[in-house]
Amino acid sequence: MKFNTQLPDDEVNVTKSSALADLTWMLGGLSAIVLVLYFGFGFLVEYGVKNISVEQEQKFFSYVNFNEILQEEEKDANQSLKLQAILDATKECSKTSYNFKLNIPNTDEINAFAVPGGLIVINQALIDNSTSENEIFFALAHEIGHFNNRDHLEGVGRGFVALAITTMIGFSEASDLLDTSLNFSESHFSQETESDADLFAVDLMNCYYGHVNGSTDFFKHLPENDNIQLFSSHPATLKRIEKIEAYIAENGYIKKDKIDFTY
Amino acid sequence: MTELIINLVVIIVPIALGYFIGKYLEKKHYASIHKREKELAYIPAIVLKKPLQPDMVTSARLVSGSVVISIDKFKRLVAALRNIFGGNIASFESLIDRARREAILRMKEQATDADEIINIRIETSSISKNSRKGSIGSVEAFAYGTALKY
Repeated sequence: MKFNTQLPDDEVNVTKSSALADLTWMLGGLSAIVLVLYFGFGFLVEYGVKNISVEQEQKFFSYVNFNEILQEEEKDANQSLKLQAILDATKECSKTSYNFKLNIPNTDEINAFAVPGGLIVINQALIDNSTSENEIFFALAHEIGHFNNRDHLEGVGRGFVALAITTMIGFSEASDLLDTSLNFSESHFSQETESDADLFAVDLMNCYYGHVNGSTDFFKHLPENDNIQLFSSHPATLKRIEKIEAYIAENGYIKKDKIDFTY
Repeated sequence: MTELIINLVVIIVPIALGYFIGKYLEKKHYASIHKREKELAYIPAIVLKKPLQPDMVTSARLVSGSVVISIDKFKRLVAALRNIFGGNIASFESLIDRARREAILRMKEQATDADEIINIRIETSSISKNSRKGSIGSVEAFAYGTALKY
């Protein structure tokens, strides 16, 4: 038997194709599919949110025990009673059919948010850093604004759609790219809704107190680094203050003395 | 908008680096493979279990060569997209092809005085199989055989 020397054939084992062209085609196709899905389902979410009544929402989310998930560490029962009383008293002004409930986690972050079903989470740090009842009221009213505009549901719905699409694509560089683009569209959506909720809060404040003093105090107590909100859904704090002040001037709202928060 | 740009840059730069540097390194590697394959072509390397001339064998020893090659971000992105649409992953084919041929060359380089290498086997294993975020994907090719001297 004789051995024949032969060099390996380059043409056989490696497909000759342009990797860049491959990538372009696949990325383009994927983007098209994702866009169709995202906007299609986004439209469904928007439609659905408009057609879910407050009662249906409260009934549906009553099955979820958010208090257990959020692990409330109540600092002071009297404080909760006082805030709950304020919340209940706003119903006359806000004309909402929500039965708002409160959760006050004992955390250091100055923040508050709206949870579907009518739960308002307000961190103890926000209360501790406030200089007046009016300031706390603004934070609560802002969240009521989210409920009023149904932003919380739309946020949950859109978040769910984005999550579903990302999960479908799987964890990879492709989903990284997708995450970034979806997050951008999400935060853009949020910036508008945050401003709308601010203005709703100003109206509610005017109805409740008869004046709007203290409506921008909340922003002054945000930590310094929060003012450079490059990665946040909340528009730059200064812009928000400007918008609120302009709205106050436009509506001719007045400013009187603030009330201390006592309980 | 700034956020979007920063995030995109963070993702795209490693992929672009992977494409340009990876392409350059692959070209360089193939050039080296072609050159050494010609140089070492004089050693018959076969997969038969028995020598071509059994009566003449004077000595036999095990020779082996192994190499580990990493994928780059670009190859991984193309592969990730291929995972969705299906089809052959050309960018991985060249990676495995390089690994196999490099392993055989390294094996041959150990046996430059041999008259024949028989019963050659190639095994591949992937290091870090999970494709979860942050994991390093690389392939190992291990070639071994029996170097004979007549």
